[in-house]
Amino acid sequence: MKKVKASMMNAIHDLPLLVARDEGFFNDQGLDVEIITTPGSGQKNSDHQALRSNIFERTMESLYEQGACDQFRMCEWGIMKRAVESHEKGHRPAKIVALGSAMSTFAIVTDPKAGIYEPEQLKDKQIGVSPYNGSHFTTLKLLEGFLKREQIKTTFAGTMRERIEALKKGDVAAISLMEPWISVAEKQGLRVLMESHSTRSEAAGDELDGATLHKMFLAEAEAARAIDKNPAKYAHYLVTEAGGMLDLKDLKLARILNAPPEPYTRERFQHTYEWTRDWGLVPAGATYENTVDNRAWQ
Amino acid sequence: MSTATKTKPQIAVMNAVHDLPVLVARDQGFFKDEGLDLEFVTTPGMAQVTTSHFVKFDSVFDRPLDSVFNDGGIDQYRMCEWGIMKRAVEANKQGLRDRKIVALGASMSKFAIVVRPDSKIYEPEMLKGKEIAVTPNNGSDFTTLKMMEGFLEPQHLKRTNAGSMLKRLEAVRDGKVTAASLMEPWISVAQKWGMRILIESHSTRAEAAGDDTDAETLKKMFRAQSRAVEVLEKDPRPYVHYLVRETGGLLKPEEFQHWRLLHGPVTPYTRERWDDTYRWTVKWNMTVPGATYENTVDNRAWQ
Repeated sequence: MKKVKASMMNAIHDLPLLVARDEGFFNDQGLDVEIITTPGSGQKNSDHQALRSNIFERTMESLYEQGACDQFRMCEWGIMKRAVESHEKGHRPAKIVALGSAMSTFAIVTDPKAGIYEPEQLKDKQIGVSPYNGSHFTTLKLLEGFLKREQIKTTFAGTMRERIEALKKGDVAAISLMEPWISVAEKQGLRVLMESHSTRSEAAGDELDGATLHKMFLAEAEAARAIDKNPAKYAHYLVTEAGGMLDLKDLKLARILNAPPEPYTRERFQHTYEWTRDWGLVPAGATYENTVDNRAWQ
Repeated sequence: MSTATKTKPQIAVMNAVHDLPVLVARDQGFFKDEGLDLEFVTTPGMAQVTTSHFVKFDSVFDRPLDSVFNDGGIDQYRMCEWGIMKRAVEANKQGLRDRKIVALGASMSKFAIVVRPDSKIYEPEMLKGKEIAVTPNNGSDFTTLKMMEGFLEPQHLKRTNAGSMLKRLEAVRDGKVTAASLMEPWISVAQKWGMRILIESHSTRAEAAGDDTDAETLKKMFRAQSRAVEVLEKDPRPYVHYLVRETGGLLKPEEFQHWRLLHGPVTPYTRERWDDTYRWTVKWNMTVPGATYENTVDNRAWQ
């Protein structure tokens, strides 16, 4: 068995990885995948180690830097930022090696007491996110049609649990959440203004060869099909993250969506890199050649 | 009915999701409590399974509700905010019966973009260059632009006309279009059919009226609607039959996703709101430039 160390953070993004391990799909491919669990904003009792302002000091990124894991996934724009900046700033290189499986839903949520009924009413109002993570990037994408860029105000408001508390206290006008916290918010009577599926990317160090990545992605694709057939079977990972604040019956399973990993195309890179750069979220100068490596399919 | 023979204010009802506060205010007697005796004029809308007309992309004033208003058979109606903006601006420019935006409306209707269950499209960016079925210049069209603008550049955002909500859902199912923009009850039908919802958002209505509906009447109408909103926000379920009926048997009451219904009190249409919405609508070439707040908006219900 080929040994691989992959990281996981928030279950909604890493469910295909967990299911591929649980169902033996990695083993079927001749892989012994060790999953290193790191704190994420989706875990009820997480501290702020995973949310430090310098992304390379966050827990998962630090472990990757030290060589404790070789492969990870995050929102597409977060991986773009890390791939581009690790190259620019002399960190351990991490290239984009695939468009990932988990098409996680993000939602923008308000408190009914605030009298906000639709996205345009968030003009110049603070929205709680995790900077440079999925909740941040997806908030920009969701609101860009409804507000001018300068009218979209994002702020750090802690973990998912903490930002629900901040919303209820009136410290922020809205928050961006992923599952299981969208369902927690709904259970608590909060208002979902809008929601959308969004993409992950897969990143890996240069040490992980193309054939191994190919096998990992085949296993994840198998897991995506298994989840699609019976999401309830695997929803316990999400319910556990909510730490007693949610029962399985209250989790909206229709929001769980996964697809087979795919090559990260040049067209996709250009579109996503330009968008991310246009918002000032990554530096200029990166190229497809020094940021993307589809060796899993070569 | 001509304006010469009508005896009471005529208020339009089209798609239930947008007009639910009007229907509830009527059913609960809230209009009567305000001393209003209204005539409710029902016109075919894209949500009704029986609707067969096919709207043109480049014209709004020959559509059923718009035609009746032009001829004086309706005095007051509501649509999506941008649809009302277009009609208020262009009626003025085209010399048609004048109508102004008289309020931000009560129904914060959800729109959703859906694809087939077996589609390879999993999120909004994958709709690049693919056709999305909408009703041109109505809520499903405007809200599609708003929802997709952060994900795709304008030249990659393709909308098409596939008919009523049912027709476009069938077009998605049959692979004739990639995606469709839907409102309730058709989002619930799509979910029943196992379709995949990529993105959904609440959106706004605006209220329009002819100049011959006086401020006091409008004020009473909006107060009645706002009372209906309080009723709906407590529990909309007694009224979902209006939406279920539009599907002509395709949806059972218990299959309707009532949690998507959201209503707020009717409020004045502010200058700031006008500035933002008119600029956006002109930017997308969805209406003509040159209109002003003064010749398009009239908050007389609050003056």
